[in-house]
Amino acid sequence: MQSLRRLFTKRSTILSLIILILAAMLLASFVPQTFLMSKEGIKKWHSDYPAWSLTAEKMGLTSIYTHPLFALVLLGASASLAFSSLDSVRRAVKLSRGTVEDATEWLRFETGRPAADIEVYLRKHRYSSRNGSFVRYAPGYWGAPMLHIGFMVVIIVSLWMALTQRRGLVSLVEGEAFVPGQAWLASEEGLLVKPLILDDAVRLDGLDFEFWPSYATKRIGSHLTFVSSRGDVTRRTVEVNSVLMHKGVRVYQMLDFGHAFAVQVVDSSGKSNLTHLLIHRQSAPDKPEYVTYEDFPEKGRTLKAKYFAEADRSSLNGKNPELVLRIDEKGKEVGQALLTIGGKADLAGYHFRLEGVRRWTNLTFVRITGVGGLFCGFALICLGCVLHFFVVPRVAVLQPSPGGTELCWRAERFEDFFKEEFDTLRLVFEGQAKDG
Amino acid sequence: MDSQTAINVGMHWGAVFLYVLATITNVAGIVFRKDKWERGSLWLAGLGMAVHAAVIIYWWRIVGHGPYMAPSEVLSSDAWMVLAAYFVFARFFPVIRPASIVVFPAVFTMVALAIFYNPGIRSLPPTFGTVWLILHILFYKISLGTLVVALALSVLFLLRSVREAAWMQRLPDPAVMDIYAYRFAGFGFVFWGIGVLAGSVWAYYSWGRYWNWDPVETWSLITWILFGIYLHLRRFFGLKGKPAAWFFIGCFVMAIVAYYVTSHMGTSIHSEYFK
Repeated sequence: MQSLRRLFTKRSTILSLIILILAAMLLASFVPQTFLMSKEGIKKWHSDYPAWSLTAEKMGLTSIYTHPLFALVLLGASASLAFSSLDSVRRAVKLSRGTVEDATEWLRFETGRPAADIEVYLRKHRYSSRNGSFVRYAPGYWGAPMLHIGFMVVIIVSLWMALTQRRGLVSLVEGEAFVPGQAWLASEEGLLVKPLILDDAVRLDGLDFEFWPSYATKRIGSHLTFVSSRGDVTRRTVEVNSVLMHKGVRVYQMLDFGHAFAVQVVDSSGKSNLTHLLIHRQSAPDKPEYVTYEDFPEKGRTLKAKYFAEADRSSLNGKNPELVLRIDEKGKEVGQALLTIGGKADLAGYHFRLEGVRRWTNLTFVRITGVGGLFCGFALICLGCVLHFFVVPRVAVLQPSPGGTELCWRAERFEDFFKEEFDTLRLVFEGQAKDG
Repeated sequence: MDSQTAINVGMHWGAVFLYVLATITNVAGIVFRKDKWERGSLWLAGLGMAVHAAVIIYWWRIVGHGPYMAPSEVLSSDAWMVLAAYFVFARFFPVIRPASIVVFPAVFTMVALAIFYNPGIRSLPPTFGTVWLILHILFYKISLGTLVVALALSVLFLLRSVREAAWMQRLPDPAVMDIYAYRFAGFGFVFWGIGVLAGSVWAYYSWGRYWNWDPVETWSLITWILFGIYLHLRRFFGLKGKPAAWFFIGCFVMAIVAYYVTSHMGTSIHSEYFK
């Protein structure tokens, strides 16, 4: 165990591990990592860089973070951190008590003044007596331990959160409910848990949004109703930066929203199909963008849809939206129609009728534990950094000498930077400077 | 160009003019040993800061949010913070005053670059309405200020080690510049780290995820780790002098890439805000 400890606390080991982690991160930032990308993203990368993507995959560069070697490096770094933390805590305790380590290389001078005089000066300048030595800014000893412990806490808690988190994304139309067990639009869960299933059904009662004069989104909020299996009803509101907490699940308001168009499509044989087209909001009242639906209403044809929030193109808070439908075949337009609520049109052999329009938005549900611990880790890192770099302990030890008193002094870190303080001390007790 | 934009651009050019004047008198004062010119340059820079602050506040009132949306706002406010950080640190550590030789030109370059971006009015997205964003941005700006000072000291150290001209006697001793560069790199490391963590907290409250391997997040962390390596090498492996100065300059370049370049990468969520 001791040899393991010595290996992992060797400075060259620590530095090598940090450099390896850095190298992995640098490489991974240039090569897309498969566990971070969607299937569409990977497909696009393959089509954009066919030769490079194949080479990168063969070399395993697309799985750096999930490679066993990286896991080994992380394990080594964690072990190093754990041993270093223990060592730095022991050292901080020892030094805080005033225990003096080897003082042979400390700065020193001899003075004819008695030790009592020097003690008075030191106490006046905020040195406190500890176990025979005088220490100023003793809390600074705890900077490195807090930093190391903070890193450890963050790593451990992050791992716990990654393995146990559950999240699901859902698109809800006003009036629509999402019931427990229903499929998410997208979901993610850690290796140790099953996919997220809500305790209660959730219904989107209404969606509020406001725009800036530039038509950028100013505010968006959803009015939700949670209905438990026993029929208990809870009404809540969620907005961006105003997270909703319900039975251990955090609900986040996403920035995606728009209008959902219920379109009745009747083919030439009379078969009808009610389709909901969820289209993202426009960037400006007169600047909608098409959304494409491949192989709709039949294979080989593409439906493109866009809408104006207000038929007269005057605002984004429309009460009378206008839907624009276009059907393409082999890349060429075969028909286009404009529909308001209740409107009908025949397009490329199909009959379209706009039955209704409601608003929709995306909501993310997250069940996660350990966030408090994570933020504690962050706080420890911040405090540790501040103590380590801004609160540097200074130690003075007085020893009798043939000429009177010898003062040994050191700064715990950045010795050269604080040498002026020692020089001031020396000048004061050599009578060349005032005791100010 | 509307009148508001014209005032914005005009006042920025006014600040640039004062900063350039300050740079010329500062460098001339140091090189030609004219203390009056050097002291005067600090007053000119201060006056430039006042004009600069006025235009930042003016534009803040026009757009309704702080200077952290458009690239022009970011560069302009960064420049102001760098100069403010320099003045604050020079007050506590007078020995770093000659760092103005690098700091002043860096500041007017940033402001000049800011002017060439369209200062268009950007609306604040809903995710920006939180104090964590303010802390995130503030600590990054302070960090940039300390890193520019450390860069100045590293550059001056290298300059002095390459050729010893008479005017360089007015610069601090090389050993002093070396240790102060180390110290300021440490300060920068602290503030950069707090900026990263504040950003994580902001992301958690806004999007439900404290880390998303966004290019800006990743490169910011890479930069922080790189500074960590620099500090470890300094403290435990005795790295000093020229190798330390060059290493720091490399770290600084990485910091600039992380700070300004990655936010324009299309795959980053930050790029939506900095178009």
